[in-house]
Amino acid sequence: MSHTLEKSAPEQASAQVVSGDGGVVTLRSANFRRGREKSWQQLDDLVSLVEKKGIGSLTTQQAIELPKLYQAEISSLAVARNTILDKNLAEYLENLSIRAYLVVYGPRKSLYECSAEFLLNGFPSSVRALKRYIFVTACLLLLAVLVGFVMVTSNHDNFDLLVPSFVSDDRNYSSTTNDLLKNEIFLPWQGFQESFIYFANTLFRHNTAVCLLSFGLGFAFGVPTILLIFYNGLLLGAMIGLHHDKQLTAEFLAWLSIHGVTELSAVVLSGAAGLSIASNIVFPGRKSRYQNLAAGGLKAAQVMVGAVIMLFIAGILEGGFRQLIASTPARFIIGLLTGVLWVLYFRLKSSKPAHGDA
Amino acid sequence: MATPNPKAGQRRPAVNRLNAKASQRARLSQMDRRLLVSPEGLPLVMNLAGINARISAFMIDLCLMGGFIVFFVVSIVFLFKLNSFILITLLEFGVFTISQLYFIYFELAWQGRTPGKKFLNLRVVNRKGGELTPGAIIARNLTREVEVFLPLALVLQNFFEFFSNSAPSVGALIWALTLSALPSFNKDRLRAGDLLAGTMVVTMPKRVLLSDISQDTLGVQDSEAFVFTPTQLSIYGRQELEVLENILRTVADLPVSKRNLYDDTLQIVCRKICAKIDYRDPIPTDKVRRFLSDFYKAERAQLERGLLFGYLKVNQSSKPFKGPSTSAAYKLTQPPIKEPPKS
Repeated sequence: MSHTLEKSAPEQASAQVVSGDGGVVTLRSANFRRGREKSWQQLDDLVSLVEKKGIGSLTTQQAIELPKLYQAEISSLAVARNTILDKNLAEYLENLSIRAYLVVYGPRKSLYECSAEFLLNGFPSSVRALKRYIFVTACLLLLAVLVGFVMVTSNHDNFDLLVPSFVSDDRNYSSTTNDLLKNEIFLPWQGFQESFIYFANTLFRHNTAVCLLSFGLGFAFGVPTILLIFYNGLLLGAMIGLHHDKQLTAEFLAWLSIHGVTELSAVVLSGAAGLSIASNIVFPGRKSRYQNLAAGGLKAAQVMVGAVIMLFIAGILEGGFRQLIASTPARFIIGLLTGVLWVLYFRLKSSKPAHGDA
Repeated sequence: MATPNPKAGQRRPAVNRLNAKASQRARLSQMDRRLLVSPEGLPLVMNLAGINARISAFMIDLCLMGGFIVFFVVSIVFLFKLNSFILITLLEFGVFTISQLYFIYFELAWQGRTPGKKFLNLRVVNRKGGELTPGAIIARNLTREVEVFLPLALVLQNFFEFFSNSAPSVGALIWALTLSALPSFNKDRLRAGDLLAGTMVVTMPKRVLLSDISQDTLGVQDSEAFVFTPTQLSIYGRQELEVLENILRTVADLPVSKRNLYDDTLQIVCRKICAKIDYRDPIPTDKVRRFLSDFYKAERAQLERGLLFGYLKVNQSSKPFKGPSTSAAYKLTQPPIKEPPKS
């Protein structure tokens, strides 16, 4: 093998190797590195800066440089993979390019933009996307309410079976119509702190925990989600049944509607989100289960976040306004109004085109 | 790295051990590698995070979260003189908010890293390689309730039920634990939240560019360099070259006073190489390092030349590169032309 790949040039003295026949072979990889090392270092500095202080910390000049340096580095990597056997260099380039990639193609929206986008477009459109599941969940809930109602009105003993004492809170068939009116439906106003802060907060946390559960339990093929929704429906049906037998149906429904429209919608939404996850797992369709979950999961999670916000609103309505407004027609009107508002909101279509995935 | 053994003589070890370690590392990392094609069309390599690292990161985050909560509680209690009623409400709401938002906040603000993940060089990335959206971050953290806190509650509940002789909910417990152990059942180590959000957790330790050891002349003129014949350079492959690089780097990184600790190892490596490549001339003791360095350069030049012609000699047992034959050169310059499909 008598060949001299490249004749020596004086300034490349140290990149040469004496080959067997006394000729000089240039170590191309060393030259390659020497020519590009500076730009790698620049890129490394910029990437480290962004990793530490965020993309906003770059000056305009740096922001212009970054993609150029990145592209130069990517092409270095492509060459290095096929021509260079310096392990440290290869590992460094691999690592730098993935870090730079994550910076260059990283998120470009601020938290504020994201929240606005979510409220104006993401949440309503995700709700629309899950409408089949929402329909199924709502039917399930109605069915459960019906079952609970029939069970309780046909046999009063079932009430104590269905409703645990911490939910019924002394409301049962032994309490009189007057008791119910005084202690529940027209409970006197408890004061601002008690209602808006304490009670609203407790309700919000409790409801959110229940909804998160019914969402997350979608992973168990949706069975616990269905059970949870059904059980909540039974409770509601039993309570309606109790008030029906005490001739308080209208009053109770009004009392319920002021917050219940929002709260039950949130419960239905979170149940629907859980069911959509379950159906992505059980019926994967053409795509694999992983791809399916990743595609459907984001929508479900958006619905879930929206449901938590709705629960927050419901907590305020329930804790405060329900006792503040002590009139059955007014309560019905507010309940109806919230319902109409939510429907209008879910029909909201943003005129702006949504951002793509990446 | 092999540590120098004071008892010279009967060890062949340094190279063998390094070799074994390197190949084991290579095997393991091969299994955890995930490719991601950049928009420029180049596949980029990422390494999945290990289960242990992820659990440790979670523990760190949990401790930190506890710290935040304690700080919050203490500051509220001492700063504001509120009546106990509002105080409790405020505390409950605050604790709830901190525990729900801790992960979401940090992963949003630090691009897929929480303090624990940052400490262990972990990072959440989009599985498909796109942007890590806030929606994905929120989705992967919403399920924590079901994955971590529910199983924990069930374990505690079962624990108490066991002692109170009532029927424990073993079925629910097993199911909940299965869900939390999900990452150990799939090849991408995804937990339920990752499945939903289309994300995965990768490890990304920061690498430092070290000096090019082929440029290390060791203060000797090039004219005095050791010379190797092409036959001598055709014995070893990339794997051996990397081991040699490792040894030379370790020695080069040591302070001058400690370099003599490696003299024995270098001697052994040198003797082994000489025997293998049939290098007959005796090598003076003070030139051993120079010899190895020259051999590294020459071997690297030789193997990289092979690479240019499209041949990589992986290790000493793979067959050597015979030099460019006309047909091989022809193949490289003239890619096969695909016939266009007839329509």
